Amino acid sequence: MKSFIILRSSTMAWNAVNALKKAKITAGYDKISSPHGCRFGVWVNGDPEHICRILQLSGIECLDIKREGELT
Amino acid sequence: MIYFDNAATTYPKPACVIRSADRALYDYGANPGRSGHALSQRTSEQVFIARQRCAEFFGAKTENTVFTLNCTHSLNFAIKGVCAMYGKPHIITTDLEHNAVIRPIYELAKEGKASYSIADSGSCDDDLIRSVKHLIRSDTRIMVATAGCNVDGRLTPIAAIGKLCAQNNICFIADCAQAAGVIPLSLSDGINIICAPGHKGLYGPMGTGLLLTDGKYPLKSIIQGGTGSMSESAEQPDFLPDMLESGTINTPGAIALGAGVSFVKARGIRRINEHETAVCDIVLKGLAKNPGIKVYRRDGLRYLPVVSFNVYGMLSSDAARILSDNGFYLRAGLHCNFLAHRKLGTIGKKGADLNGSVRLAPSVFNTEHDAARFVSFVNKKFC
Repeated sequence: MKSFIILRSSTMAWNAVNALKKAKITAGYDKISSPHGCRFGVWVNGDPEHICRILQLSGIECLDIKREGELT
Repeated sequence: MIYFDNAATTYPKPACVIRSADRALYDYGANPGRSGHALSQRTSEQVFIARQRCAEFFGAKTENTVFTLNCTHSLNFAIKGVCAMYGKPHIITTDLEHNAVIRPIYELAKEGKASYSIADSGSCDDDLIRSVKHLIRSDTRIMVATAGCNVDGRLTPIAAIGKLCAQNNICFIADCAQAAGVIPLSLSDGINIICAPGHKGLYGPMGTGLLLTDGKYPLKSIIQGGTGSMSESAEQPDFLPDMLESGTINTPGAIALGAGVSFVKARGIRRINEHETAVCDIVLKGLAKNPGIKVYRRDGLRYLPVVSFNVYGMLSSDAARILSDNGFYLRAGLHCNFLAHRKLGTIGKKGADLNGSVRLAPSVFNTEHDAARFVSFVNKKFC
């Protein structure tokens, strides 16, 4: 199942794409509109909690995780 | 035409920079970080790549690398932004500073938001360090110094100033307008905030600049607006780069600046500096025997590849006009830096004495042959 990891900014989302690329994890940059406003982040396929831990190691803080379908 | 006005802006630009700007206008025309469609995302990626190149070049994190309009813009953000975090701090600057430094500081003082002192750069690096040390007070929070003076190219002891600031918990803002791309500069040198133009030694287009911070000293934004993030809130984002990038950035400029930085990196700063210094050395040697020329260089100081001079008995603007009429493009006047001209004695109190100097600044594209032609002309015309 796809998940959307919410990050602080566009720059952090691209940082995440790069950091995950190094860990051989494919991530897609996106900007979505949620009921709380627009959010930058990355779409991932694997376990988002695990991916957030990888991002944490690169100094990238995950603000929230949304499963596909939870966004509307 | 021989263009020697590269301290104002480098020209010509490298082919890769021109191609990059061209491609940005053709292929990356959407607004980055605003929309979510594919073209906006591709544009956003290109801006990120440029940001990454600039960040790596100066030892910064990508998120702490801000695209600005020019170095003045960066300096205003840095000086006023850090100042706003304190209650009327004391700022130290030097007598070599461009108006992009002294005017924001003066304005803050005039508004009662800061006080300031100007360190005497004296006649050697130690003089400057001693003066800065002497001026540090308990309420000193900010030090702003040029890495290299734009008038005569005098280099300042950046690492020593950085060390002194770190010891005294003072935020060190470096004006790298003339030095970026010509000497190695990094946040690891003890600089807390680097301000740099994109259009000079980094070979980017005009209308581009950089602010890079190590994040140790928080700053407030002096302008607020849309950033594409936190759009549901009236609060300006408190994180970089968004906090300082309100409004649509100069996207083709930023992407082309990234190409400029890659160009400098590929050529190598050391090689660029050696080349430009060799061009200046030909000019310095060639003009040394001309009694009609006064060159502003002193022994015991280190200089950027810049030669500042005057023709005796002639206004700098008149000399530059004659040079221009003969195909040599140099800048004359005060170079927006009355402090350094006071120091050099090239500024008076009356209009007619506001002479300034003529400044020759080569780029990587000037040749030793250019320098020889210039010397030959000057020594024939002004002797």
